[in-house]
Amino acid sequence: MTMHEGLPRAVPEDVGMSTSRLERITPVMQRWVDDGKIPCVLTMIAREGRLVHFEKFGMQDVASAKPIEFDTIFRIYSMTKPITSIAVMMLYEEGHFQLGTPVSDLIPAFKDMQVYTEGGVDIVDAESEMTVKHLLTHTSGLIYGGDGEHPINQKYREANYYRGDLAYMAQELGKIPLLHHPGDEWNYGMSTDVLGYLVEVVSGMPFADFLKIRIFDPLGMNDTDFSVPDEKADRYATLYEPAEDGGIQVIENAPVSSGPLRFFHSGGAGLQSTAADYLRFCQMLLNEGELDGVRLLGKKTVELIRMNHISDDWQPLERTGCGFGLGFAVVTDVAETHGPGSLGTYSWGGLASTTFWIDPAEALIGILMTQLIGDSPFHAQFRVLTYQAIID
Amino acid sequence: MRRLLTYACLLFFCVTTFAFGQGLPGTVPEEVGVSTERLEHIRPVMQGYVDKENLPGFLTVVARRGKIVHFETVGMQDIENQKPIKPDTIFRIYSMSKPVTSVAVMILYEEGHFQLDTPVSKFIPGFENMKVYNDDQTEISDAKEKITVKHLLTHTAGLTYGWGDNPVDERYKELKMSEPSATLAGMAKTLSDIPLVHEPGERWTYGVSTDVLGYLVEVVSEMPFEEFLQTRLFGPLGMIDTAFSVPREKRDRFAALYSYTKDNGLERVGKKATANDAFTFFPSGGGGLVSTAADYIRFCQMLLNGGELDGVRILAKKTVELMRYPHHDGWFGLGFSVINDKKPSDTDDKKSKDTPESVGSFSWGGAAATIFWIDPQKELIGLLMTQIHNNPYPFHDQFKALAYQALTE
Repeated sequence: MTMHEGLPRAVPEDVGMSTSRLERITPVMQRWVDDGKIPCVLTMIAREGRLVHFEKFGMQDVASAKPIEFDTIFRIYSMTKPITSIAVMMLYEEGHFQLGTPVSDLIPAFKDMQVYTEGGVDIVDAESEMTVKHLLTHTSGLIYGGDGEHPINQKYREANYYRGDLAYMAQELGKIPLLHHPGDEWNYGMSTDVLGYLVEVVSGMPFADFLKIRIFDPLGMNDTDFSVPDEKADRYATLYEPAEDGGIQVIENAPVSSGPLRFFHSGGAGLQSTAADYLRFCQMLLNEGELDGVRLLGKKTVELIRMNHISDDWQPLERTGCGFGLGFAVVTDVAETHGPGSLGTYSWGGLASTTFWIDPAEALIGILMTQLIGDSPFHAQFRVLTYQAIID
Repeated sequence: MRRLLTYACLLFFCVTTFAFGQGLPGTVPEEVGVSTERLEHIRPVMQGYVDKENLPGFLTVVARRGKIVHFETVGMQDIENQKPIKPDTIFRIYSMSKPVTSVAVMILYEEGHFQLDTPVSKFIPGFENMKVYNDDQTEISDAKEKITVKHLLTHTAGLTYGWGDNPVDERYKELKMSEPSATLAGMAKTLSDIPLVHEPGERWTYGVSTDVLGYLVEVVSEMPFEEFLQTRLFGPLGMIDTAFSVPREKRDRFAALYSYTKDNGLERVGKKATANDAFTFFPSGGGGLVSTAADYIRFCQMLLNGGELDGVRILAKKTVELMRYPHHDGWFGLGFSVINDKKPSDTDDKKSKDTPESVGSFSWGGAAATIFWIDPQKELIGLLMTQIHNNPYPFHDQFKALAYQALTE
């Protein structure tokens, strides 16, 4: 195994996949790059703990014609959330808190929360305490805040929670009324950032240190961090967005960044990583908590993480056929996902169109890396092209 | 010596049955958990229909674990000319074309050409701005939803067949698919001008959706639909008698077509009825194919094997799995009906709770009373061929019951 591949290679047929069918991925991904719709793509497939497909297309930086490499470093944005959730569950396994423990027991800023009534007309006291599980399942009532008319959006804009440290962020978020009573709805938002701070409070060490000492070093994820060190700067992909002419253009100020090569220590969106590093993280989960003799979680904990914990009526980010576990979307109805797959597959993605999934029934992991803040129709294609290559 | 003789007989049985063109190798039923004695219950029931009800003839096939355990003919392929039905008789399989077309679509889907939720208008621009009727077809408005590939595969697009006497049915007469000059492109063009009977995705309506899929295959693959089927499906699977036409040298194997009417009983579909005398059919992905039991059993076995037969892979197993999930209302997959759960339900009678088929089974039939079903749990395929329109008799359910009662494990 070379380090930038994450796992040892296998001949696809040895793990029930077809070499010739895997080759169907190449022209489809190449076309997106050739058409100038995306700067680059890395596609990666592992089965039964072995790497069977790892291909690269396009440029890490288009202007300087610097090709993407297997060890290119990407902004993984919300693919940070599963990692933060695992950090939380490691502390959970040590008995520090239960899923039903009120967050305010650990972070007093969330004591006596207030809640907006429907449409933001009024503000009332929260009917229930926000728990650790609410944060893990995005049902806490914390949101991201946007352009909408609801007064909560204005509050989130003003809070500027990425201005200080995690303690400051928690303090600011604690002042804003929740969108709904904890547990009443699924809403994507700052929940996982709060979990990052929770890790800091419970473990007594900075969040970034906890991740490094307890997860990244043990798993050999040597290129995953909230910043890109200067000596790795030439491996860092440029971030793009769609341009009006149908092509792409550079985004100068990446969301969540706090300076060149530096990101806010956001448990929801701050990490930089490589395909190989993220594959090792996924394989640890597929192995029910352990990789190469290093155990991060017990198998029952991973089982608990990948169960559906939310109501059948809620669809996380319009992912039809999916519920939500403790940090991941979970497939509950394959037909409704409108694509091939297996029940119990868990997955998530990032703002810059990165995505991954873990399919325990097929012992399969798929990872796609790119750096484009925009639509990502190539995700569904990659999923189809991956599953059609399974022959056994 | 006796054992040797048994093996010799078995070998002879296998070789001869295969040579007679049953599509799959034969075996002693007991080898695959089926009772020879109980299989013998099938013939008298089928024979009874021929004798008592004057039905033409039947070909029944039961295959288990990839082996033929029952392949029998009773009655006539052509009553008037006293031509018996034979193992290689060619039948109009009508809507049993739909699973074939759906598989063709999924072959292209696997290559990444489109997603299930891709709007069909991406490939057939005429479907871009569809109109839709209100429920009693008195008003027409712009459709809010776009027709997707999945809508076509699940018959939820809002396309219909035009068999009723509502305003939409008048419009469907414009299709004229039986005219020799008809083309798939022309059909799609005509259809795109006719309002849908409901919003795409709203409900299940049997109709020309699968015909449109045939044209989609033509557009995406850039080859005639017939040619795609031949090169990507029929050729590789050895389905040598399946096509949209019956060539001259095979016409004596082509079954006559009959129709049941309440007043007169069984009637041959007459000289002037085009269907019976025609040997070339519109390349309708929804109903145009002719085939044999041997060919269709190979198609079914490919699906039961998860997409592969005799070393030839047509689809990946996850794609076949995807096709047989209940995509619509708990009972319809991508191209056929599926048995989802057999728990009692008072909400819908379409879900066939009263069938011996296991959960996960999938099936469909054709207008001339042909049917097939594939039961992955029992590794079982049943196929019944005949040629009767408007069939009033319950021989499908009887054949299913008879097939299942023969299983011993």
